[in-house]
Amino acid sequence: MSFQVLKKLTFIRSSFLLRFQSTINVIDKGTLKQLPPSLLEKAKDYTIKLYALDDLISNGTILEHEQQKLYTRLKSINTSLLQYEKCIYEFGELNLLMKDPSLKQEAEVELNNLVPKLNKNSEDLLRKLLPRHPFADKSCLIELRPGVGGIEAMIFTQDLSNMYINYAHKHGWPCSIVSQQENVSGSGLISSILSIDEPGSFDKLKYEAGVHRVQRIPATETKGRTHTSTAGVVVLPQMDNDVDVEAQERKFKPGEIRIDIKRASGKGGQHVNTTDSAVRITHIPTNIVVHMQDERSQHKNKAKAFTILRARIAELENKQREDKERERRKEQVTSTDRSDKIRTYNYPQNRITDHRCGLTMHDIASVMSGERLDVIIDAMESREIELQSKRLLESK
Amino acid sequence: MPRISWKAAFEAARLHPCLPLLLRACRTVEQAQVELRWLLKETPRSVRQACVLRSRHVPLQYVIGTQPFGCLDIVCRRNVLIPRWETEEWTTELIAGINGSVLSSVHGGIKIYDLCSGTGCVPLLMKSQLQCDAHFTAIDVSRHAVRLIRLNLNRLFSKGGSPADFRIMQRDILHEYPPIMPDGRIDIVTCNPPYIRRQDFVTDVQKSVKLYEPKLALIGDLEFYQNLLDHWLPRTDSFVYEIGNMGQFDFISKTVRQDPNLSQIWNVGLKFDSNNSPRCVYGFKSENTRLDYRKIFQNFGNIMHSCK
Repeated sequence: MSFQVLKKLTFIRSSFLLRFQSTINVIDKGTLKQLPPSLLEKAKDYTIKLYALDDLISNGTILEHEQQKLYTRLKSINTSLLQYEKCIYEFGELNLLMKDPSLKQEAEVELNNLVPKLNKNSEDLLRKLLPRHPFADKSCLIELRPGVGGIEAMIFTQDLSNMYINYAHKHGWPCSIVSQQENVSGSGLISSILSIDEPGSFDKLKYEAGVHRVQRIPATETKGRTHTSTAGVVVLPQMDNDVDVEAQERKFKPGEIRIDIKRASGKGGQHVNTTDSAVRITHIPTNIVVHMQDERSQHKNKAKAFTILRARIAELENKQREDKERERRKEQVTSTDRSDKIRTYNYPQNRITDHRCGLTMHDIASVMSGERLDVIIDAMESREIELQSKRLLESK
Repeated sequence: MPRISWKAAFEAARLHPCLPLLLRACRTVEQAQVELRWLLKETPRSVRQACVLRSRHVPLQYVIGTQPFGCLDIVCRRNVLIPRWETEEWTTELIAGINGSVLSSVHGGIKIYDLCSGTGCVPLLMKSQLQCDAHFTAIDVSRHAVRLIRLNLNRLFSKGGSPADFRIMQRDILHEYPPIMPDGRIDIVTCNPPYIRRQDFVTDVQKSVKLYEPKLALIGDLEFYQNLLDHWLPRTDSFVYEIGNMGQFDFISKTVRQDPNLSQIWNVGLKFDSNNSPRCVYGFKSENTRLDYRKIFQNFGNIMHSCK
């Protein structure tokens, strides 16, 4: 329907009628985001499924947990689909009105309002149609480590850590430093683990994983040369916020983990009162080792170590699954690849470039203070959606 | 103990001006740094003051004022023994054993006596972690200890007034006459008695313990274990006593084995801590008991004397 309208409009443009100029701009193909028919087909399939479930409910069947989840998802897809279709219908109607010279001006105003709404709806629907990340509703852990560049890299790690803390504060997300090792001979961090305890924060921050590169004149530089250093960021999903150590331990099979506790030799007991609270947990099947000695309480150290261990295992499993899928698709690097540098922070030029989505911003200060980090994250999000929808179409 | 080298002291001073002070108590720069971090985070006084105290070997727990014990923070004061990780370890395991086998519907709740209670850490942790109903009695001879147990109890469980299921008594279990007579049978007696022998005190004990912790809670040998055999065994179904050396375990196990009556009804076991030192002697009856002790102590240690 709308395609025909577009065709007509192109025809009108070719007739050099100047007063049509603005309308043509509005309905320029670039600004109008329409979903491909195959995706709409898919959405309609979901609607049929929804009606089937609806029938079940009206017959008095009680849905299982999984089914209930599916039902909510289908329902929300359906709502978006209806809105989208309504917009498309209005769009068609308005375009018909455009032919009438007396109503043309009003229709033009309406169209101007409608197009952004339509775009939003179509994006919304698209996002809902795409498969969700398995950890999308989880809170997350961010691990930061300096890469090449010595002390400058450690200082940059500190800067990044502050950026994420500020970002969390800006959104009002609770956040805490799980463990932090400061550089003893100077400034900066040797390693840092942040915990962002907001469900869904993993979905936003997962794009941060990778190598961040900084180009600037370090504070430690005496001759004014620009250095390039890097810092690595790993984002892990927090599987659950179980504080009970016993419960955490029970989730592993016996013999799967080994807990080592650092103990001084000697008599022990009442003879000494030194605090030895360091804990090391080894997950034997994957060989992941977590060491924690930040707290005076061994109990807390253990709990923290378990949280990190579970997050790392979950991430590893997810990565293995993704790798398998990618192999099946025989497709090259995607956004979750973390071996490459993902972003450059160039201080002399006041520039941040994200190499994955090609976004360049000239405002380092506000990004580093967490204020405008969302701009980059949003850009990554829309790129991810684009990639995924492309993949979805190919698999059709 | 090796001397601290000048080099190490200088290195420490470069990192933090207070670090050399901590070095005297911690001996290695790494350990000193860890302690400094805790002090910066938790000390109620100025960091410098705290480090000066530490350089005089005042225990970290007295400087900061608390010691973590399981999931609790126990307040520590001078004149009362600081809870040790070994005690924490066996208490946690005992709690896991009880939670794994005792149903919450034991009539009237289980009755637990803790002797030589000190800060009260053992019954307090049990109170916070046990899933079944339980009544606790904490006994200590020292008025400082009794005051501290009350303080800890109120600090941890003060919601809705003082809890009714926790009794605190200042009694001398060794010398008092008439002795303490519990009303009815006790289910579990726990005790961390002073177990460092007088002749070992000078040679084997860490300086900080020797200088600042109460000798009343440290020096002792067999008297509390004798008291267990004489007074508590007829009144309880099970016991867990911390020990400092094998002599104390042998004393209990030999006496039980050689006694024709006791050897018929008591099982005695030995528990090692995760540093592989003998740490607990425990025992339980296997007949006419309310609880399934064999299951409670299943993973606790090794049974060395079985009654049948």
